[in-house]
Amino acid sequence: MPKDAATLSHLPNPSRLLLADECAEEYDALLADYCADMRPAGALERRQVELILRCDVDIDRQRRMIAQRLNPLEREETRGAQMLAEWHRRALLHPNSEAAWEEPEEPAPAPTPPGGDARLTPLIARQYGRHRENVTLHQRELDAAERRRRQAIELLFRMQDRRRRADIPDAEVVG
Amino acid sequence: MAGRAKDNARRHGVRAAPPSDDVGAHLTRILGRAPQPGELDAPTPRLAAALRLADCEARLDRAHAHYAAAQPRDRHGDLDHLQEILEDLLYFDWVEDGAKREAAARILRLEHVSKFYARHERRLAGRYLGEAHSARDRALEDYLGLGGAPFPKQGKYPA
Repeated sequence: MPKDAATLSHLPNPSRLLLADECAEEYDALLADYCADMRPAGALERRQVELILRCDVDIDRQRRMIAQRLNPLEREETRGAQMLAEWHRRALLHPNSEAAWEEPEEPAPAPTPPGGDARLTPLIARQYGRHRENVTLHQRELDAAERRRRQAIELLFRMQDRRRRADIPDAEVVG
Repeated sequence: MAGRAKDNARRHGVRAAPPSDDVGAHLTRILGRAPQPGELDAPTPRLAAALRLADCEARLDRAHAHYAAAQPRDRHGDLDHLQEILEDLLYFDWVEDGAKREAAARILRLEHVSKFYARHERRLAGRYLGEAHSARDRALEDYLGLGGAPFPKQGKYPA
């Protein structure tokens, strides 16, 4: 095991594993916290801790995505429908108005709904119906990430258990 | 692995051999030192296990990066490009109305196909990540099993 395991940086660069709404600095801070909690000894255990953290990042990401899919104020406009709508608008345009034609603006992002409003439940149910396949897939990935996390924690405990057992000297039979 | 799944894996590049730099970095981390010149030509069983573990770690990193990149994808890029080509067709004056109607119908049909394949790729990315994790865990157990004290199997702690 390397002596300076605690100073070894993780592999690879965490930004490769993070999305635009996730912060590499927060990831590093979390990794430091996890290392302080789980006290890994050596590079292999430290790597195992990092894999546990990655599973937690995956779990958090899937939960955020499910929440975004179920955002009741999100308006979904399909790309194909937008294309056809624009084509129809242009086709119906009077020839004299072509100079004044303006490209339609990008829709503004959906506002965050207020928390704890029971009136939003029917809208959430409707969003679930619209995004059922995506939500099911996110739920499946969430389950898989939780399973990976359990396995990673179990493997870390086994590694630490083995290390502690190796530290105990063999018993001597006296008499 | 079936032929079609093999093709998919090759297309995504997730299962291709990882760059030797990544494997070397992991090997150095696992061993705690850089391997000596010529040491890898005739590796000891422990070094061979470390090399295999380093390879699995590099593959796991790649699978995880691919998995993360696939998560926000809602649409399939190639099919979206096809949709744009069909959209161009709608604006050409020389195209007959019947062909334009057909193009419009296909634009709407591609909408479903694009989303379907994006979900399919996300599902595949999840599968590759799960497989990379399993392979890495097995390689780690093999490596630790060669390091003096036996490594207890899952749920079987020595009494």
